[in-house]
Amino acid sequence: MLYYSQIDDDSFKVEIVTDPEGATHVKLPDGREMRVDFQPALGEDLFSVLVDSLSHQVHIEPGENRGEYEVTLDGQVYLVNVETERQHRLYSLAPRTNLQSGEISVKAPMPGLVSIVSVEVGQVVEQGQRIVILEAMKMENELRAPRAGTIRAVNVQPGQTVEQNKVLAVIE
Amino acid sequence: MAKLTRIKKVLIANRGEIALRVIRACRDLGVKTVAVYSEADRKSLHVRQADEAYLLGPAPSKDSYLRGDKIIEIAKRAGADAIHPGYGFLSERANFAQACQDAGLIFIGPPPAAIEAMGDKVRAKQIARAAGVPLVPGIDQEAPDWQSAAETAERIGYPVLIKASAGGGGKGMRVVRQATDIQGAFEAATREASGAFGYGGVYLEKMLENVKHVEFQLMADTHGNVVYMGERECSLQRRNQKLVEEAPSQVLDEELRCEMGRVAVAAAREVDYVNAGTIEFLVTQDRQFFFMEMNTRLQVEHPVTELTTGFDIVVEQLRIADGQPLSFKQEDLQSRGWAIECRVTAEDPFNNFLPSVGTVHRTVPPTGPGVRLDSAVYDGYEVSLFYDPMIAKLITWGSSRDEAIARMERALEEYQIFGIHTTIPYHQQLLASESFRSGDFYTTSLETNPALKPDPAARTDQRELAAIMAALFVERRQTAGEGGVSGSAKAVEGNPVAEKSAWKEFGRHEMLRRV
Repeated sequence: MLYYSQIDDDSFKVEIVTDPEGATHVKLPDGREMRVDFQPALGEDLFSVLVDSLSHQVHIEPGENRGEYEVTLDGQVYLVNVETERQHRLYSLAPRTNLQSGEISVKAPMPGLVSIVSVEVGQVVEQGQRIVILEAMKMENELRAPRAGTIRAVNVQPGQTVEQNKVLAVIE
Repeated sequence: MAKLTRIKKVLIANRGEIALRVIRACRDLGVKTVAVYSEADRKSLHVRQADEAYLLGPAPSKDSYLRGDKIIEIAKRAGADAIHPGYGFLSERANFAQACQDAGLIFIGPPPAAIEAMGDKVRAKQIARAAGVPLVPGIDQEAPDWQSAAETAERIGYPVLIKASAGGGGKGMRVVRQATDIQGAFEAATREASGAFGYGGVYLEKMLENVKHVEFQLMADTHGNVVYMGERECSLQRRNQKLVEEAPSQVLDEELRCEMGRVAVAAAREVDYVNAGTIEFLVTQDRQFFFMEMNTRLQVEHPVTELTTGFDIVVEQLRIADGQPLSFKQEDLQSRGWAIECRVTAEDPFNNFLPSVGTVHRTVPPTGPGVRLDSAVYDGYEVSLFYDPMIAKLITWGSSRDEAIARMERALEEYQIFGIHTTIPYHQQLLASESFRSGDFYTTSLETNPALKPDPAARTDQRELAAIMAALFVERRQTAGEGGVSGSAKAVEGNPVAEKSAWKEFGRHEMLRRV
């Protein structure tokens, strides 16, 4: 089967085939091919994976949105969006405004109290620039712009209590 | 191990790893344990490991772990003889220690008067001075107004620190580098202190640059014995929170160690100290040392001292509270090898240490030679907003500093916590850094040394591998006959593979063979 994995702006085309012996192989567009042994180690979320005999331990679970997976490798979490070939063909026909316009939202990583809003609609921001300060766990947490752009929307004001994952601002 | 005579049952007025740590010491001594918990902690390990457990109240600390009255009431009801406060929460509140005594309970810690004396920073300095402990140049009287603060600053020389008498955690603290800034800084510090602590008194001291935080573990019994169990090096701090600690310290030699230990013991004697306590010093590059403060409780980082001395500090605390003499003398304490502790917190070091709330889905704890893990995390553990983000302490021991570091690096690599962000990758970066290896780090290094700031680029980027893993995961679900990516993520619960039909599998296998 052919899959399209997307991590942020990077797209990976991954072909998974089974050889006559029943072994699984992964083929990449640049011609590389590796033999993989993907085994559940604990439940259906922790896997032991041998990639050409190189041993990896990986934790995978479905993310919040459909087709989204949280992959943890050596302590790093990657949010991977996976599409099957059919889905990929379908979706590539439909316009995806979010990706095309490069819109990105700044969400509340936890419930908290908005203490400062540092930007306004129309403002141009640099990557890493402060967007909002959110008070939680008795600490002030600075939420910064994940990338440069223009503020398209600001959905909160100082003093407002927000739930986890609330979209605080949108950068275009 | 010698059993206790007066204490048969202990209530642990705390949560998390430290509650578990105290329960374990009680078990070693054959003492029964009583846990208390908030509504958020019903399933936590300290509740499950204790002999008895009682609900305190709602999740916020002020409604649960800070409810001294309720804790004492539960202790009486459960028939406990003593209360161990752990660290944080009620551990350094003299009035709680007093209330325990008044209720006929043994408080496993120092006498209320000692807690009170050492808790007041100005008084603590006067005590230290009386005991002959060197103080940082400054004043041990509060500065009544900015003009007198300016006079003192002129006398001791800039840069100076303005600190809140009732302070802690950096609140009400200001660095002043020149005379023109002193009025503004004085007023801001006073305002912040009265806001945070309800008391605006501030004092001044000379700011020492490139200093190490070195603290001495003290133990005192009710028979007049006071010993020091060597030092701990805790300079790697961020916002006054320690991240990495070790014992011994690279900057001390035997002569300096004896001298610092001697004055630390003298300071403890000055306040008739009993039980475990720690005196914190600042040590300059030319190896002068100055009194900073005394913590009148068990410290988070006590395990590094346990690993290098071979004695159990919590067991010793219980023995002392039971009225027994210390089980070792000063000359019995020989430091052996090297120990390092990393405090693992639920924070994202690469996103400005943003607290990472959520569920720990799985953990793979490190084991093997020289590794100790003091943790309260279990599969399904919820990191909540109500408590300290520290979730585990990883401690390693080696016969040399290099070996302790190598074992820590191995253990950090083995330690997998899935579902939340932790500081483990940052610890790996710190341990690998040239500054840490050579000992070239000071109390301000994590804020000032660019090489010690969290560097996402220091990690290997494995996105391609992650992309492959995710595809393999989806393939596995699809071949298992489930909805896979086309279905809702949440719908694919349970164990799709277990539901896989053996006949289908057989058929597939047969077909493959026919190809």
